[in-house]
Amino acid sequence: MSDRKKLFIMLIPIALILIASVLWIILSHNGSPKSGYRVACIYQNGALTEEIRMDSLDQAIEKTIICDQGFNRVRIDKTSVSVFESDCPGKDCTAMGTVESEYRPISCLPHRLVVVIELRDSDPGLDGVAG
Amino acid sequence: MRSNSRMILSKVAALGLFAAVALVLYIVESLIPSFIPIPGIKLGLANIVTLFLLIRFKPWEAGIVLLVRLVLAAAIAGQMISFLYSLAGGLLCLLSMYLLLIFTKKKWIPLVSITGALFHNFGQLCVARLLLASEYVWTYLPYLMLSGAVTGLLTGLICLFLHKKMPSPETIRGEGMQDPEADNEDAEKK
Ligand SMILES: [Zn+2]
Repeated sequence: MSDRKKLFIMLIPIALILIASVLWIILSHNGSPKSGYRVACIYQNGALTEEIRMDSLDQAIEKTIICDQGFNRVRIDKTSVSVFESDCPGKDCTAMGTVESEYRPISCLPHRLVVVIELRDSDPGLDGVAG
Repeated sequence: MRSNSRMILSKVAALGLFAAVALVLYIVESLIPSFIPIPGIKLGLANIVTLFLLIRFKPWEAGIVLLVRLVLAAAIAGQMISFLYSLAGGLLCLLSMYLLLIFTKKKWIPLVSITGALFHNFGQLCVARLLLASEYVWTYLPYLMLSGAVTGLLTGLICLFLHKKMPSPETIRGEGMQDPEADNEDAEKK
């Protein structure tokens, strides 16, 4: 195999991965037209443990989430979520700051926690069930 | 002292030194605050040592230095979980770079390093996916791929520089050492 061929075999997958990554980031930042309402979801060990409808919040609420390994404190308001305190090693979760996008979940790997905004379809029939 | 045991001793000493350098780079890096708030984004400075050893030494020697560094780093930090990430990322990175160095006959070292960094970050994310049991981790993948390309290029260029500037393998491996494989590799480059 010629050197040129080998170089292309290496370059093309790398280029494709990088182009796809840039496209994904651009598209996720521009966002889609938002219909429905947004909920702050808290997952522990992959299971949804809490769901808070955000547009009904008049002021920010704070929740302390306890797990076997420690705790995380989560703040949720009308537009954003954040993990503002944690006793985890590394503190990646608090470093992620305040997030307003559905495409930027906050995760705490040592505590196996994910805090993420999800979009729900407006369905008047289900409103009473939420919460 | 017989030259054989001397050879082994000098090799062990050299590998120990490389492991120490890798560990120091690893610790220095952990002190630098992350510039992008995505879990797993790191400079990967210790990868310079892995790649350098793959180029100059035998793959299993690079593997031993990697494992020693990871175990010591985990012992210092006392974090079992980050050890798992680093292990998965580090081994995937090592394997991919090893295969690519054979494929390219040790050319385009920065490109090999970039590929290694992409595999490293992918391996880490796979462990994160298993631990978090959430598909949401994949949203970090694009960021980890872009940062891997940048940091992989950086560490690859540093490694290329070291490879060009450092004394020949014979000097590093200890004098009087016979290593037909190294001679073959040098011959191939010419
Ligand atoms: Zn955390």
